[in-house]
Amino acid sequence: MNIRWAAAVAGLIALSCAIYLLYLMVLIDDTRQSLHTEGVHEFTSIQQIDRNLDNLIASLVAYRLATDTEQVDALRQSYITRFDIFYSALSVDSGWMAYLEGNQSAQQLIEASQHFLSRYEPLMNKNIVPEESLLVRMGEEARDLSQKAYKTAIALSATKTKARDSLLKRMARLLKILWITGLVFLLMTTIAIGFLCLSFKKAPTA
Amino acid sequence: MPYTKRPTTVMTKLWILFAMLVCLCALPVLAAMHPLPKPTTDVVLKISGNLSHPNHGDEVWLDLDTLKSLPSITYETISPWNQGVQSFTGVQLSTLFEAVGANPASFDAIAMDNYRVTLNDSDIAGYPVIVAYLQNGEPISIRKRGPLRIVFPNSRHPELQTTRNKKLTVWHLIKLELH
Repeated sequence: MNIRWAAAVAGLIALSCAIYLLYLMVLIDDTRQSLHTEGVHEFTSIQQIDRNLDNLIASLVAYRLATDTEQVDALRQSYITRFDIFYSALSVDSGWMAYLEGNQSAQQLIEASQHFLSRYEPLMNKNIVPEESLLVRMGEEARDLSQKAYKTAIALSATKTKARDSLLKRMARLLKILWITGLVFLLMTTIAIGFLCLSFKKAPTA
Repeated sequence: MPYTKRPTTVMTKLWILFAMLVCLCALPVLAAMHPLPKPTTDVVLKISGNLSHPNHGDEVWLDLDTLKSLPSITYETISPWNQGVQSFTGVQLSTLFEAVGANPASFDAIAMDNYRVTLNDSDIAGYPVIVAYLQNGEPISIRKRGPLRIVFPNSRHPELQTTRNKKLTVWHLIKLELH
C-alpha cells in the first residue's frame, strides 16, 4: 500500500512537471518570437532613410553645379527620382513603418521627414525650375534630417542591444528551468515506474 | 497498286507531322538561344555576370516592353512592405534567367538606392519568385516602390515568411548581378 502511495506521489509530481514543461514551452516560444522581431528591421529602416537623404543631397548638389542644358534636365529628373525614392520609404502603406512604432525619436524623424516631403512636393515636377535659394534650403534641411537619422540609428542600436541582451538572458534562464524540470520529470517517472513494478511483485497472486 | 501506295502516303504524312512537331518543340529552344531585343525605351533592368545571351556589351538591358513580352504569372500575396493582400504580376526569376541564358548558383539584387542583397538558388528554387512590374494590375511607380520588385509567394508558402526573405524582397530593383 505504501509503495502504491509513493508511486502515486511520484506520478503526480511527474505529471506536474509535464504540465510545467508545456508552460515553459509557451514562455520560450514567446521569447523566441520577441527575439525574432527585435531590432533588425527598425535599424535597417532608419539606415534606409539616412541613405535616401544622402542620395537626395548628392543629386541636388550635382544639379546646382551643372551647366550644360541637357545635363541640367537629366539631373533635375535625377533629384526628382531621388525625392520619389525617399517618398516611397515613408509612404503611408509601408508595412515596415510599424516596426518603428513606440520609438519616440524615430517617430519624430518620420514626422519631420513627412513635413519635408510635403513642403517640397510642389517642386518635384520636371517642368518647374526651382530657385537656387530654395534648392539650397532643401539641401540643408535634408542634411539636418540625415543627421537626425544617423543619431536615431545609433540610439536605436544601443537600446535594441540592451533589449536583445535581456531577451537572451531570459532565454538562457528559461532553458535552465527547462533542463531542471525535464530532469525532475525523468527522475519522478523512473521512480513511479520502479514503485509500480515493486507493487506488482509484492501483490498477492490469486 | 493502290495497296502498295497507301502505306507510303500514310508514312509520308506521319513524317511531315513528326517534322512539324519537332519544329514546334524547337521554337522555344531557338528563341531562348537568341538574345532579347535591345531596349527601345527606358532601361528598367540590367543583368550582368555569367550569362550567354547579352544584348548590350556583355550585359542584358531590358525595357519594360521586353520584360512584359516574357511569360508572366500573377498571384495574390501578402508582402512585408504593404498592408493586406496584393496582386502581383511579373516574370518568374527562373524564366528570366532562361531568357538571358543563365543558370546562376547565386545572384545579387541591387536597388535604386544601392541596396544590395545576395539571393542563393536555394532561396528561390521550387517557388514562383517573380520580378513584379504590376501591382493590383497597375504599373508600379517609384513612389510605390517600383517599377520592379522581387516578390515571394508568401501567402501560398507561409514558410517563406522569414526575416531573411524580408531582406530579399527587394523593391526599386534595377540590376541583377549573376554569379
